[in-house]
Amino acid sequence: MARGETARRTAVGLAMAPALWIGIGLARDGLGANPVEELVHRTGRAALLLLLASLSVSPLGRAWGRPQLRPARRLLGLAALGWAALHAGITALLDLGLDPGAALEELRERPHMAAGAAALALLIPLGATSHGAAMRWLGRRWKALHRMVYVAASLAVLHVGLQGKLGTRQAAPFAAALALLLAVRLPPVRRRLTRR
Amino acid sequence: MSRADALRGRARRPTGPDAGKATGPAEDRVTPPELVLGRRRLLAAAAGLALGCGPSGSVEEARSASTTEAKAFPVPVLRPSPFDTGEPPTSRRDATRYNNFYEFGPDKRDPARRAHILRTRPWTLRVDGEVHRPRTIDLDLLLRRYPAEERIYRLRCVEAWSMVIPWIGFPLARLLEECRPTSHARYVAFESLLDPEQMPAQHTDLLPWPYREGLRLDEAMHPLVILATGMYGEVLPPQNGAPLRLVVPWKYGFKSIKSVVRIRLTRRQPPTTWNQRAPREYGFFANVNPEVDHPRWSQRRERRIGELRRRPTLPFNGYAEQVAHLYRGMDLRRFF
Ligand code: HEM
Repeated sequence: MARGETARRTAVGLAMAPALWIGIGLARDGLGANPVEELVHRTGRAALLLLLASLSVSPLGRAWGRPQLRPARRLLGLAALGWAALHAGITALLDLGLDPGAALEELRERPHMAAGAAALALLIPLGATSHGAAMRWLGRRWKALHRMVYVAASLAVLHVGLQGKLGTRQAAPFAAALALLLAVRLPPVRRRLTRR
Repeated sequence: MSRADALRGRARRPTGPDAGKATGPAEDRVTPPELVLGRRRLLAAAAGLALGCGPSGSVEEARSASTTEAKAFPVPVLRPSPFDTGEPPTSRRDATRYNNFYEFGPDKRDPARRAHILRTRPWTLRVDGEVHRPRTIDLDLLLRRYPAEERIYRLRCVEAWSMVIPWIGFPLARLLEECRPTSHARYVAFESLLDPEQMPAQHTDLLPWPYREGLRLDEAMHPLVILATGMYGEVLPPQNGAPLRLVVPWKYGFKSIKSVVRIRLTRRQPPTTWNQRAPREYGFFANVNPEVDHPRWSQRRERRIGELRRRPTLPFNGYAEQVAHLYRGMDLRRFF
């Protein structure tokens, strides 16, 4: 279907957009005075935004009466996982120097790091079971398993909320978006938004 | 003999009262070529301005000087300080585009973007409180009275990044001594400019304004502590705390208060901004200490701006030899 193709292309574009965003930053000023920090921030934001985008596919599809948007949901989710893995990898390599002791200490002592790691740990099995074969194999349990995406997204928002600079509310827009995406899934709201 | 050497040869006076006995970390100091160049530039500037460090012209002239390209510092740098670190300075570009100055916003790019509206002349500094000779001094007078020297110091931000900055300034102790602290004086309180018209974030409640800092008197009198008026051989850019800022290299950067308008000597420990804002996270002392973590991140390592990986943080930011004695017998976990 042509419509499904458009959705897929849009999703691929969104998935790659952070690369462009990072590339422009590199070209303009080398990502500033602290490029590692900037890279961690941009990949982290990319991961969370793509995760939220993935969660908005189903409600949009329902509202527009276009269930064929589904492939976009999977693509965006996988992209979120990819950017989150890169984000965590850069942190592990350049902030923690691949030192397992330092990493453990961070996880134990910094709630925001534990929340981020938990979010990533949840996203990995979701990514691994996102293809058709796993869906068929898991049957009804697939749906239950993939409900964990809400937990992962909540943990990711918590991860941002707990690290913020005092006086700034950088997690607020993410938290608002997530709350909205959860709200439209409440059965009464959902019924109302669905177009047949 | 290079011009820079010639300049050093004409040194007017030793670097400071403690220059002789100081055993700084810089015995093996090698002047980086950038800095030699910087000194040459300074020399040229000094020659060009002749007695430019003398009485300044009108207020208008001073104002334009701070906003035009003429950024050459009028006071020649005379000799390397024994307190200099031998480490290569951070690039000037990075040091002037990445820092915290909440008066202009919480993002580290905000100061470079917004601080250009700060008017740094005319500027007066008030010194009062427990002193026999309180005074209000015009900045240009202050510059003439206390010859500037260069100090290449490490700067460690509480956010776990660091830089090496060639400051230009004079020891705070000189000024304090001249104001003759009374026998009751035990602390020194500092205050930044309060003017929301020039410092837009003061319209918000990001922090309680004006920004305040404080030191114990013995800390303030330490020869490492300077009031800086320049960096990288030039006048201090507004985003770095122009026209006058404190530099206390063994403490987290937030102690080094910027755009200072008032210094008050007190009997009691003065309230300080970050400590008021989050007492569990920011102490009054705020000595750089890899053993005491910030509640939300580790202080064991830091990213030196310009480097990819983190490096270990040093106790007292590497100045332990000079300052550890100030805290003998104190529980530094409690007084963090
Ligand atoms: C093991 C896993 C993770 C680690 C080690 C990690 C580490 C970090 C670190 C060090 C920061 C910067 C903190 C600061 O600057 O103070 C950060 C920020 C962030 N992370 Fe993560 N993270 C992880 C997982 C995730 C996941 C799964 C997501 C999203 C799906 C995510 C999204 C973000 C976002 C949005 C930010 C804030 C970026 C900003 O300030 O603009 N992180 N993370």
